[in-house]
Amino acid sequence: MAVLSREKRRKIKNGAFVAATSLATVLAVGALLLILYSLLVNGLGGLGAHIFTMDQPPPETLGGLRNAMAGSLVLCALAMVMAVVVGVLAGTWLAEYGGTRKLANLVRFLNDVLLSAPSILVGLFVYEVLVRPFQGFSALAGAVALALLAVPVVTRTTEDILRLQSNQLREAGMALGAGKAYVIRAIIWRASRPGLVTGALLGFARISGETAPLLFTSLGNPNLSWHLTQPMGALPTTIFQFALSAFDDWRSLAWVGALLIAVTVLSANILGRALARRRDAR
Amino acid sequence: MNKAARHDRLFQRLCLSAALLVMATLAGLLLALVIGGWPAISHFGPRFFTSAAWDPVADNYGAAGPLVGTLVTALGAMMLALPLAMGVAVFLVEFCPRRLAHPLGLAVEMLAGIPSIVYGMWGLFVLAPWFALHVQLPLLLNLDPDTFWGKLFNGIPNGANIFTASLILAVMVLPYMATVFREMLLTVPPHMREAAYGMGCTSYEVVTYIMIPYVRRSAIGAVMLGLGRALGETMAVTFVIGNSHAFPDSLFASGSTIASTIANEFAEASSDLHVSALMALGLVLFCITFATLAAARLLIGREAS
Amino acid sequence: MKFDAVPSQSVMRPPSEAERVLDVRGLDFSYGQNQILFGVDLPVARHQITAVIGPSGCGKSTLLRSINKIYDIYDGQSASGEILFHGQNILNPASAMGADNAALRAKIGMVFQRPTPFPMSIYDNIAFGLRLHRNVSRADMDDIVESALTRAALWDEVKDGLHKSGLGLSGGQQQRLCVARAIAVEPEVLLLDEPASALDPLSTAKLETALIEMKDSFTIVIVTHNLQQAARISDYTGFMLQGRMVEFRPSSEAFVKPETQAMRDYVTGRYG
Ligand SMILES: Nc1ncnc2c1ncn2[C@@H]1O[C@H](COP(=O)(O)OP(=O)(O)OP(=O)(O)O)[C@@H](O)[C@H]1O
Ligand SMILES: [Mg+2]
Repeated sequence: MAVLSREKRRKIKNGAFVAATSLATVLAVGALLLILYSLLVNGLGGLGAHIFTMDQPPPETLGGLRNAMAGSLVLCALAMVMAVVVGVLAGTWLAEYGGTRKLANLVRFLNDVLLSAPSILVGLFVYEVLVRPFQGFSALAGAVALALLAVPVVTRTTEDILRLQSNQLREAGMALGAGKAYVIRAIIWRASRPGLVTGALLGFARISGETAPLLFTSLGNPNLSWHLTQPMGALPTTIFQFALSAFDDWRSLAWVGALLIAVTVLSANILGRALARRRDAR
Repeated sequence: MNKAARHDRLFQRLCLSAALLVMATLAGLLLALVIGGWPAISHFGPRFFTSAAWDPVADNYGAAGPLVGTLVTALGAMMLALPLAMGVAVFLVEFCPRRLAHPLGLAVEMLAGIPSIVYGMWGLFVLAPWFALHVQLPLLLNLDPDTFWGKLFNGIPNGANIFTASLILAVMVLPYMATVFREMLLTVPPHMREAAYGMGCTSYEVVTYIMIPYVRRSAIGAVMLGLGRALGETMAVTFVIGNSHAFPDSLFASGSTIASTIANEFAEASSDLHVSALMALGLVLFCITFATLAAARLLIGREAS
Repeated sequence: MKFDAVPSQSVMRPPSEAERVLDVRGLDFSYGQNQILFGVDLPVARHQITAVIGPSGCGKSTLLRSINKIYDIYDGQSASGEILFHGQNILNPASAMGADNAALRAKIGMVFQRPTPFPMSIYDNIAFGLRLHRNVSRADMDDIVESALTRAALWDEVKDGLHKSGLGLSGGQQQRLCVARAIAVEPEVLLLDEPASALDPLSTAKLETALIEMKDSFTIVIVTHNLQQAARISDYTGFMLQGRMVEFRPSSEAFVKPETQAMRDYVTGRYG
């Protein structure tokens, strides 16, 4: 065997490395394209007006996902209202009042942990606090569970965004004789509005596909329901139930639901990022 | 005190209470799990963690099966995803034509946000059947079941097993980790890269000797973050792991994780002890993931993530 | 007097072709659509120090980055013309010298304006480049590291802490570490881009002494804003303006009696 020169060996190693990273990218992007492809192929076929006008059916009858979509909308909307209120206030405290105090650093740290905490545990927590004591699953409990998942996202983005505002803006406001609270609300929040919207959108993207925390809080409901104290349907829980069933038409409804969720999450992400980019460009 | 000052104080307190609520959530979470799980832990004692008996009919519970399932699937997923994620990140930062780098990076980022239930469905309907037909069956037919390999790959060929769970988890954490790695590699100062190239390094040498060491600390943090996700991931795993509580005895055996067990059984738990055992499982998961995520955050610091 | 006019005259008194180890001829360079260098010539004589001076933004760094081909790691930056090294055009990927950038950069080393110690020990910073190219025994490596650090006038300051991180050194020491790192692989040509711009006068003096002593082993091209420095250490001086080489002459005459109006104004400090 010919002995390769050192230079040759280095070049071959480098070539192999480039090839390996390209292969990794092809594999990763390929897997992900495959997933999108399956979603489209299996989900598009079942899509039709009935999906939006009919409730989920008993096995082997025609039906849609109206109750689940309505439920998801209610749950997410409620959750986002709670999460935005708490998250923006908490983020504001971190950015404007907390500074580098020990307490602020602790809150930051715990918030970051919560950001990637297993969502199913949040479901358990809410079950203990809001379901067990009241002896019943409820939409409200589901919304709270989702809110708890969105709060860390909103808190984090809010703090980051507010920190980007220049101190001159704050000083200019104070110099006019306004109180700090007023400056924050009237000037800082207003100047940061696109960023705050981005945070909310990212939070929404995070929770709109969440299934685990809903399983034992809002439970699911085969009928359209608007009662916050009753179990409520949601797309993810319906998908979970249908996908694992033995009925073909339920399974194809699950695919449609999965497609709808994926599209929603992707749009929320893209919209959030587009807003963030517009902000950066300014 | 005048009105404006009062107003200021009130607003500050309001913000502070919101921040404290974040803290309270985590504390409440822990407390709820401890209180909920205590009956089972005190009833079974240390046996709860070592026994693999999980029998709702006899009301006898041991966490070893789901615990091991959780660790094995998560670690397996990391082993599969880590080299791939690093490869993707390096390719995007170092080799990809600039025109492609942006859309590709964006695509990977988008895919990191797809909810896990979608991955789970794909795993159940696409990956598992394919895997059963093209991997499990041939192995089953061609391997002597008494050899080491035969035992390792033993299992019902339905594609619902520990390995496919790892695989789907890997696909899930891959875009996430690749995104974080990419952002980290982009923080390597250009003059550092130039200096390395400038003295005659190949790309391979620049990446492995200069760029990766430069981000090592935060990269380890990112890995822990990915691990934390994999450990606590529920839906993607629940779909494909086969949901058996037995202690997994081969790579292709069906199994369960803590999260999948809770997801499957909690809403229909048969007895108070069953509920408590599931809460105790949750407590175990909390401790593992909290430790992992805390370590990750400490390593990454705040900036890089 | 305005200086944004494109210089019209140019004066060249280059070394003879036989003396040149490196010869830049008619170099054009563009960042994307933006042409920065226009037909630049830079004849570099063996074992001499060639200084390149000129106002900020005239393209001095770009010239060095072309010679080391470091621009090649970026998309959209392109050089054309000729850079002859051992008679071959390194800009031509088909030539033996132009085909392998890594090998070329080992022969034409570069030290950047900002000190760039790698995140490793002082010892490893220097051993790093060497290990790329050949196997070196531990004892030999120790010798090479000592000799490189000595030639870069840094040995006495760091000999007791060779295994400390290179990032812990002062700016001036870091820059001399980068010089030591570059010469350890024994390049033929050493390119230095304003190596002293971030250094205090004492460090600068040490660096200059080191460079003059290194002349016997290397051919040096140095970009500097400091005219005194160029006059002190260089054998040839090139003056650039607006991406063009305006005057290139032995340093002994260039500073005493600049021939072009542009260089006269620059040397007498009338240029901003
Ligand atoms: N990466 C780049 N992309 C686009 N234009 C660049 C880039 N780098 C430099 N330029 C432009 O090229 C011109 C020459 O830059 P160069 O750095 O070569 O100047 P210089 O003579 O080294 O200046 P200085 O003395 O300030 O270091 C400048 O007008 C600069 O704006
Ligand atoms: Mg320069």
